[in-house]
Amino acid sequence: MAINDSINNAFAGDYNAPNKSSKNIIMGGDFTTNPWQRGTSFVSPVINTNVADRFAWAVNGTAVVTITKNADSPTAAQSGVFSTSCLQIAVTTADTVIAATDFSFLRQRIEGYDFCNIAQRNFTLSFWVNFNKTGIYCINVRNSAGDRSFVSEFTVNSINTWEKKTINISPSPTAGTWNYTNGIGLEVDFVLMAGSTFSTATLNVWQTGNFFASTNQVNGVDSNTNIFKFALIQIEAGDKATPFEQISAENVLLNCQRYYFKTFPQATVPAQNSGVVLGACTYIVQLAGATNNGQKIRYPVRMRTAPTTAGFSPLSASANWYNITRAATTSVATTINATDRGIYLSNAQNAADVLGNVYAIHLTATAEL
Amino acid sequence: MSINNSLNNTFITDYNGLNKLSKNIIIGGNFTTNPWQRGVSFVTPLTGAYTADRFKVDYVTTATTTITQAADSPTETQAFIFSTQALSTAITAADAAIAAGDFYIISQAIEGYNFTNIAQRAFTLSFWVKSVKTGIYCVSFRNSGSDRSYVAEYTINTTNTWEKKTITVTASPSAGTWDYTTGVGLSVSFALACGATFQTTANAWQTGNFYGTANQVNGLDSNTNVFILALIQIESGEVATPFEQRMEAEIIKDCQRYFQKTFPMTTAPAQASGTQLGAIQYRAILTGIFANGQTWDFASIMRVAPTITYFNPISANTNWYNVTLAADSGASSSLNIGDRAAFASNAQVVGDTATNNITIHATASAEL
Repeated sequence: MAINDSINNAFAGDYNAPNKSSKNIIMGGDFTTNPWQRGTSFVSPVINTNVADRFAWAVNGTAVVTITKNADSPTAAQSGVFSTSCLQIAVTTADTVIAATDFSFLRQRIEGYDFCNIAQRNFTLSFWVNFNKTGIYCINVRNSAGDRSFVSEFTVNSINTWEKKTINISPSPTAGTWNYTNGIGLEVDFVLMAGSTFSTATLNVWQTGNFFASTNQVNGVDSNTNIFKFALIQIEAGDKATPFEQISAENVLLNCQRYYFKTFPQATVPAQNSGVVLGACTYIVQLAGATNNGQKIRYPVRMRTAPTTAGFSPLSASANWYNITRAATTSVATTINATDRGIYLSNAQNAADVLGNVYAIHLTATAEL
Repeated sequence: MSINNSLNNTFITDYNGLNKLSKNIIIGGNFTTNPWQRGVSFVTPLTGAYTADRFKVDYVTTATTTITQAADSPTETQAFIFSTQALSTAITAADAAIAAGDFYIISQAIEGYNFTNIAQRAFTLSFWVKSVKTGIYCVSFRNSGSDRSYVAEYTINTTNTWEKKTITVTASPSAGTWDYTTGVGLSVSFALACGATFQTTANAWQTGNFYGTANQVNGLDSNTNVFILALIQIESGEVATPFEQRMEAEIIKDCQRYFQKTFPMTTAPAQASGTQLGAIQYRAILTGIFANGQTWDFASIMRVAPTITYFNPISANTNWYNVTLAADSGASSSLNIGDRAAFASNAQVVGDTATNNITIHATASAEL
C-alpha cells in the first residue's frame, strides 16, 4: 500500500496515448463477461450454431461435441486479467477418419465496419488455450467471400495447462472480395480438425483460396475424451499482443446486442414454455374477440440489419402469443414494420379473448453474420 | 509475420490497466458529467439514499447533512482535466460524540463484472478532496459478503483546499464472499466518521466489515464542516494515471444500467413535477374502468429486473394522469417487469373516455 498525496499529476504526458476506445475487435472474447444470451450449454450443436455471444460452431463430418461455459480460466498472475470462465468444447463422438471436406472449428465473424480497424495493416491475435491433446493446431483468418485466407499454426505443448498464444498477421491484401460495411469483414477460426480440401502447406502469408488449416493440423476430434478450452481472445492492430482489454459487462452486452437480442431476462435461456414472463412483450386486450392487436418492441441498440425474429410463448410449448389471464395459447405473432431498430408484434387474438386479458410473448432477434 | 507461443505475457508490466475501453471502474466519478438523475440537492437524505448517480450515503449518527452538486472543482492546471462540479456534503446538525456503532460513509458499489477488471490484483484509487476540517480520513474497500475489508488513511493537510489523494491497494484475496457477476463486487466508501465497531488496522485486507481506523477524524463534529469530493477514479495497477474523460452519452448509458427515469434528464423525479415530457403515454381505447397501459422499454438492459416507482406528473400521488380531462386516472401497477422492459398498467377510472391522453412518469432502480 502506498499513498501519494500529490497535488500535481506527473503522469499526464506519459499516459495520454493509451486512453482510446476499444482496441479488441473480437466481441465477448472474455467468456466471463460474454453475456452467453443463448445459454451456457450446447449439446451436439450443428453447423453454424451460435454458442457464446458472437461465437459459432462450424462442423462437417461425424464429430459431435458439447460446448459449455466452463468455470476455468488462466489465473490473474498468468494473464494479468482476472477472469473466471472459459469456452469449453468437449468431444462426445469422435471422428477418427477425416474425409477431405471435414472440418471442426470455433469461429467469430467480424463485421466489416469493425474490420476496418485492422484492415490492410498488421494485426495480432492473442488467446489462451487449455487442451488435453497436445500438438500443432491452426487458426485462420478469411475474407467474406472465402477467396483470401491466412493460416498460421500454434503448438499446444502441455496437456491441461493454460498457454498463451500470440500470432502476428500481415496486412490483408486489397485483392479479393472484402466487405468493409455490415457484412463479414473477417472470419477468425480456431481449428480442431480440417480435411485436405481445406488444408494448405503455405503458412503465414495471405493466399488465394479458402483454407482453414495446415497439413500439420492434428485431429482434435479423434477421441471422445478430448477437451478444448479457450479464453481471453483478442485481435488488435499492430505487432504486439498487449494485455487483454477488459470492458464493462454492459458494454460487451451492448456490442453483442447489435447481432442478437432477446426479451427474456439475461439469465434465462430463450425457449418456449420457459415459465418466465418477465420482460416479455405485453399488452392488455382493449378489443374483445378475434381482433388484431399487439405491442411494439424497441431494440436496445441498432441491429446490424433488420433481424430474423422468433416468438416464444412464455407458458406453453408454442411460438404463439399467450393469454395469461385465460391461460390459453392463441395466435401466431405476425410482425409489422420490422426494422433494425424495432418491430411491432401483432396478435390476431381469439374469439374467447375479453377486455382486460393480459397477453405476452417473448422474442429473439438475430442479425448474426 | 512472427509467432510467439509464450506462456507468459511480457507486456503485462508495461501495459497493466492502460488499454481498456474504460480504465476507471468508478461510474460517474466526475461530478460534472455525472448525470445526477435523481436531482442535484438532497436535504437530510435517509441512510441508503442515492444522490449523484451510483453514489449513496449510509450512516448511523445523530448528525444531519445536505448533499449537493457543488460548483467547485480542482482547476485544469491542477487536475489536467477541465471540470466544474463536485459532490459536496455539508453538515447541517453536528454529532460531536461518535458512538461505537456510529459511522457516516459516502459509497459506490461496483458491480461484480466490473470488479473483475481489478480483482485479485493491485489497484489504485485517486480522487480530489476539499474539506473544512483537516486531519486523517479513511477510505474502505469491502466485498459483497462484508467479510473482507481494506482500510487506508489519507491526510487532509489544508482547510478548504483541493488536494489530490492516491491510494494503492494490494490484490484482493480469494478468500471471503466475493461476487464476480451482477452483485456487489466491491464497495468503495469515503468515511466522514467511524465508531470503534467499524475500526481496524490500515493497509491490509482484514477479515470483517470496517470503514476506518481509530485515527479517523470526526468530520461530523461541526455544522460548519463541508466535505467535497471530485474526480474519483479506480484503475488497475499501482499508478494513478490522469482522470479518464468519457463521452456524456457513455456515462449516462453506464448509469442507466442501475437507474433510469422517464423524466427529462434535468428534472428530478417527483410527484406533481409539472412536466409530462418523456412520460409513458397512451390513448384510451375504452371508456371507463378498463385496464390499459403502455410498454416502457428501458434505454439499456438493466443489471437485474428493476424496482419501478410511478409519479403522477401533475398531482401528488402515484396515479396515472388524464391529460385530456385534467384529472387523475387510475392506480399504476407493473406487469412482467424484466431487465429490458416493463408494462405500465392503468386501472382507468370512471370518466376516462376513449381517445383520452393518459400519462405517467416512472423510475426504474436496479442499484446495488
